[in-house]
Amino acid sequence: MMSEKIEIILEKCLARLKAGEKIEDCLRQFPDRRAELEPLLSAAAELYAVPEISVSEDYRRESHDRLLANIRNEERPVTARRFRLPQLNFRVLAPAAMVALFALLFWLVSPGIIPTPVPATINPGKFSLSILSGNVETLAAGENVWQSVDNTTELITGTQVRTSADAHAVITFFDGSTTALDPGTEIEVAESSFVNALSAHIVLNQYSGETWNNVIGTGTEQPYYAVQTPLVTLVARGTSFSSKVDTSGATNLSVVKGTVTVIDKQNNEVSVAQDQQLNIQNTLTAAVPENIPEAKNELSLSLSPSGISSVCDPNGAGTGYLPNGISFNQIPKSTVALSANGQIIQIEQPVSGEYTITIRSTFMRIWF
Amino acid sequence: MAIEGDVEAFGVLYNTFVNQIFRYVFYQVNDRMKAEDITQEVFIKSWKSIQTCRGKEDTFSAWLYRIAHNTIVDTFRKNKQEISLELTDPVGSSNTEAEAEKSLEWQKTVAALKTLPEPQRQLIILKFMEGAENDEIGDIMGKRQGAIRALQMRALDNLRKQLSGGVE
Repeated sequence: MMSEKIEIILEKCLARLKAGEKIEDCLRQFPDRRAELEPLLSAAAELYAVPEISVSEDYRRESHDRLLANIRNEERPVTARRFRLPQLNFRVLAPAAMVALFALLFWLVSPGIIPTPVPATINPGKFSLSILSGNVETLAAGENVWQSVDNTTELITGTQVRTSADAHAVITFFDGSTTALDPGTEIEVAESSFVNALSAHIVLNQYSGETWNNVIGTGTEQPYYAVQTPLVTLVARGTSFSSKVDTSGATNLSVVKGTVTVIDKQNNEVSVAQDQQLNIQNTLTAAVPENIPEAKNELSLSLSPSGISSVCDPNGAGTGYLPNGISFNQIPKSTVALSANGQIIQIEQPVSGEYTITIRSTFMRIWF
Repeated sequence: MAIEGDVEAFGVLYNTFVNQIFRYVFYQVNDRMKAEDITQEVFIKSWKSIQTCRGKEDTFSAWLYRIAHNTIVDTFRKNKQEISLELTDPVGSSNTEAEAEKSLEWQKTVAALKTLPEPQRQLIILKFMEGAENDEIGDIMGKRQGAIRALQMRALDNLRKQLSGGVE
């Protein structure tokens, strides 16, 4: 008779050990497997001897109350103000300026001063559209009349959005990913859903204009985020990139962070890395990624580790960190990073106008 | 009710599972404060997705463990640092010599745990610290029973080697 597998015997012995029997009791039953079993059961006994730990009653009560309070706060509806940075009158950072080392910290602790780019209540089929400037219109699925939108509004997948020649808008998805729309842009949010537990699945159709996409994800699994242009599909994972589509459908991709895989209609694939761009005129056969030329102008803001900051550009888009550590990135071609030396926000080719900067101390421990 | 957005019902779930999740996190990070922070984050994430998430897991606790596991991985990835090797006494300061000696043994065991490959460590914590059954562990780790048993044997074998100073 074939002997029982050691894994099965071990399982039986572990069950007996857990029930309070001694190692020797089990070994007696399997004398021919003693040499293999004994060390394994000894290790298991060491593990069973580790004391059961638990949170203190004080911690449990406090964290329970704090958790519920935060949940209730998060249930407040999203309003336009949440996407606008405060007017603190820190002044003009001209586009050519290499900016600013801020050593001075401003201890601004009033809640809600920095906008929350994440929708308050998660509903994957919905997304928020924030109007930063100009005329923005939407077309719901199945409709044929474009509607003008004046304020932040919640829309559902299948809706098309277009910006006029002077308009800027930001779309915020349920996972915190954002798409900033430049003037003269038309897109459709084709899909926005969860797949496999917590993995976000977002697909945009970009028909014209330029978008700046910042992919966040829910943090548990890699999100799937794709922009489909007339010629190609741009698939990003944890990435910041811009996509520009002209009237012929030709697509220009610039990757500022992470990588983007480009797939054409013939299923050819090209991977475009950070700081690279790709011009696609028809198919990918002739397209080769090249380095993005160094920006002529760059706005750079750095801050010591004891503070965090966010900056709002003249169009109303913001980039930076919220007090809870969540980053947001709505300004095209901008990056934000934290290191041991502090925080750095960089904006390539910044537009002219007035920038607003918010600085918060991180000395206080802040929960979200 | 928590699935329908009942905050109070979620509070009850929190009270029910907080110790389990805390233990699971603690034995992976071995830092009480860090474990408390991560535990809080796990519950916030679970609240955010409880109304929409359709996980593969059969039970709420399996789903929570999966979120906890991903949160731990994310935390270390973000911080780009290894798990601290400084050991803390899980039950607080020891009063007597016997207690101190016992505490030292536990710390040795927990330290050995840290050296295991990640799936082996996860299994050991779930099975021996949390008291989870194999079918639940399989659900959390996305593995079949046979694979769980084989992994368990390798994990215990590795742990034994570590506890005996890495010698046969």
